[in-house]
Amino acid sequence: MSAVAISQDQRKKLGLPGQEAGQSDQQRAPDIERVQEGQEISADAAERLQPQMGNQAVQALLDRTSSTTQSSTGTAELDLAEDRSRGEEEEFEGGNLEMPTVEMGGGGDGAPVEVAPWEVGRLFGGDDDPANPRRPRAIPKARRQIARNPDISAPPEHRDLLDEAHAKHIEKLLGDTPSMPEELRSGDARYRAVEAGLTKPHAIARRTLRPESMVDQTDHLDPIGRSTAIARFLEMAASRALSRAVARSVAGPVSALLPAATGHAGAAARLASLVVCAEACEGGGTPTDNAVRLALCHEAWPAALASASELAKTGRVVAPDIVEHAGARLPDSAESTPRTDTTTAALSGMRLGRQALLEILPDTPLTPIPPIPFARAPESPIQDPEIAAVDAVLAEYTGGAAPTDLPDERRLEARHVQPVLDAATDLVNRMGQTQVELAAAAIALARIQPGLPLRSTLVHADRAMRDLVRSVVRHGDRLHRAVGVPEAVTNQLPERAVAGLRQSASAFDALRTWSLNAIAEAMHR
Amino acid sequence: MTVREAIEELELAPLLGHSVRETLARIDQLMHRIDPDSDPSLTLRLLLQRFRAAPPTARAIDQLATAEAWASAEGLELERMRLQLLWCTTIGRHFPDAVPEDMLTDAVDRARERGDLEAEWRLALAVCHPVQATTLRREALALLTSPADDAVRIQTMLDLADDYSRGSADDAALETLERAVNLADQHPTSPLLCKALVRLSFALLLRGKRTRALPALQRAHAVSMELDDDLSIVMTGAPLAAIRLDEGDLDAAERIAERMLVSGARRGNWFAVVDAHITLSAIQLRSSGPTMAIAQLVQAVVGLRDLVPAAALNLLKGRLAELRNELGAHAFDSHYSSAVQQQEGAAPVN
Repeated sequence: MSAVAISQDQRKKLGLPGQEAGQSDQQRAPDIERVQEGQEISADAAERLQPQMGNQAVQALLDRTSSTTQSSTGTAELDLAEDRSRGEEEEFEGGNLEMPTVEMGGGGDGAPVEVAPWEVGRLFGGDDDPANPRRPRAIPKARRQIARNPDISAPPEHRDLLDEAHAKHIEKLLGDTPSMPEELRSGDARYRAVEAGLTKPHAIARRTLRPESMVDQTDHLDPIGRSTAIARFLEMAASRALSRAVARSVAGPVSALLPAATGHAGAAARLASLVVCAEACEGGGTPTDNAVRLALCHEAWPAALASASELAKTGRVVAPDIVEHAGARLPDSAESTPRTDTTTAALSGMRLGRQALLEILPDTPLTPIPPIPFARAPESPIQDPEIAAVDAVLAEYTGGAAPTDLPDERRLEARHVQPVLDAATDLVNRMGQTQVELAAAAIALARIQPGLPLRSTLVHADRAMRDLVRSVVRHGDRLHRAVGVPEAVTNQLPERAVAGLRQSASAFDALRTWSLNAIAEAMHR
Repeated sequence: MTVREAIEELELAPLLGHSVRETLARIDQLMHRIDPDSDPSLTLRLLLQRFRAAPPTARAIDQLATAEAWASAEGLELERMRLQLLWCTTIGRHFPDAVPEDMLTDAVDRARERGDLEAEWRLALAVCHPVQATTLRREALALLTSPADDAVRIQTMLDLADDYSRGSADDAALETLERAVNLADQHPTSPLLCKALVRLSFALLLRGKRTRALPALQRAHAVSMELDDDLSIVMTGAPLAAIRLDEGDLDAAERIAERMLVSGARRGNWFAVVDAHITLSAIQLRSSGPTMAIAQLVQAVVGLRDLVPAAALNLLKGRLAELRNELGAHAFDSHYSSAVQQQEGAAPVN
């Protein structure tokens, strides 16, 4: 007899016979994909509708100046955005999604400048303050010209578009395309991320299929670019090797998938079909698809940056305010469903969600806090007293210190602490940037799945980061005040300050990771 | 045969192909013969074998944690380590960050100290520490020599090939995938064989080796059909039909496209269905002329309306617009009229 008898509860959990015999667990238990399969439908209409308000309309317009198809189709959505933003258009350079927000300067030559709203240097501005040493760079003239003349940068695919009359004629013959009823969205039809690139037949139809034009196709609103953009994300981020393998073949895309006989529309259909397969291999249903859509929500970062630039004028660049200034709603936790334990099945989706957030946020590594090159290497102790006596005599005769002299008083100099203070400033700036990053993540998520309970995560991250900033400033301040103080009275202050700053950096890194995980996890509530 | 002997025999069974179902059935039978209170060690070994034989389910992963607690309470160190390492490997596959590092380290250290589970701890570490994964998996492969480990060996080879692909070591990836296929070939009609063939054929296509990829792709498609695995049928059918069409093998392309219509619809992958319709239309264009090619697409639009995403219908309409551009507006409209006359229910030409 065993020392510890297995309980009935354990028996039940382990699926041992006794409680219920017959059907095996393998037959009874649903696999992970089935567990995650649900008929839940996210309101993705918001993804299409959201960019029509205020600054976002401007941003949407800018985002699409590089879009090959949608910009040429003159959709109602774009028209609306154009109408609303016409007056403001001149104030923005655009077209390049990766271009930082541009702020028009109030003085000087009036050239637009690139700034980061979180930079500590920007807070300088009083009459007594010195001039900001980091004057923002002016945008190169060539880039401004390209933004103002999109025709110059228009991709060659534009020239392959068919005469719209053909598509209009087909529409006339076959009638408008109805929307799929949501209740039919089951199985692989839940993977709808690819559909945003296939909204217009006249954007799908092309004169020729030119595989060479598809290499490095990155326009996520193009019929083929959408598939390749999703595939590029999945080939890096998917947790299943099969999903990555399928995605890899679409990301290229592989020439064998593009026979001329089925035209551009056939190629778009094939790549879309394989993208859906890649998502299905990953499993997880709607949350997986939402993570994929999140990874393509590249306009969230510029939107957050634009809001942060506006808010910087008020000196309050915090994530919840940025999100609300950008027009996204942040429901309180009480309005949302209560938090439940994370299931094993949700882990893959959460991981993919976090990867998606990292995809849309800038990759900015944290500057390490350097040591202070202050402590002198200890002199080697001389054991032999006769050698020590000879050394002392030599030192005296060669102009060195006499044995009776006191040692030089060593003091902490500004040059010693400056690299550490610079790193501390970078750390504070990085925390400010993270406020904007978290806001961008929340904005992106709100566009994919409105109404998720993110406020508490952002508020908690904001508070924690404020504490960390205070700690960094405190350490930096002490270090600054220690300049010129004799070493003997510093009580190892430089070492303690560096250790404290490193701890703050480490805590900040963990806080950022936690925040992004918490935001990704919200998709599963 | 005693229960112990039966379990030892089961532990030597390769968990691949047809033998998996038999193994699972025997495990269920043995579960009724064993008393967990008097034989916790044997029961846990049986549970472990059941977990390894079946694809990991959410419930089975939860069961692993319960079993580990039981093994710990019973003081069954080997079973406990084995369960911990299996749990780490399985969870790590979903989300490496979700595996507590101290738990993994503890399990690995204890296994190392005992000189046990040499392959298992390496595979658990590989999943959670991607930087060392290639080395650890290579070492584990060298340790997995028993035929009973074939399923783990194939999976490890597939993982290793993925490591190589990520590191741009394409030749090594291809070689490893070929080894996985050769090993899986000893256990016909297993999902792992299908997976290995799909991976190999896609890797070859990616490198532009269409001639070498074709037999693997063809076999992957055939095995998918034997397994009635709709997802793999669609995955392999899409490139295969395209290649056959490009080669002018219209019969083969048609067969594959017809099968994709069924599998795509069963999966709810309407883009695969539309892809198949467009392929069939291209075949009709070559073999029967424009009227039939147009009829194929029009029939699809009418038949799928209200049932599939608008994006899928837009693809069909886009293809029709391309045909109108190719044929000329006048010729297209004439063929369209003929196509409509052949089918009832389609909209007449205005």
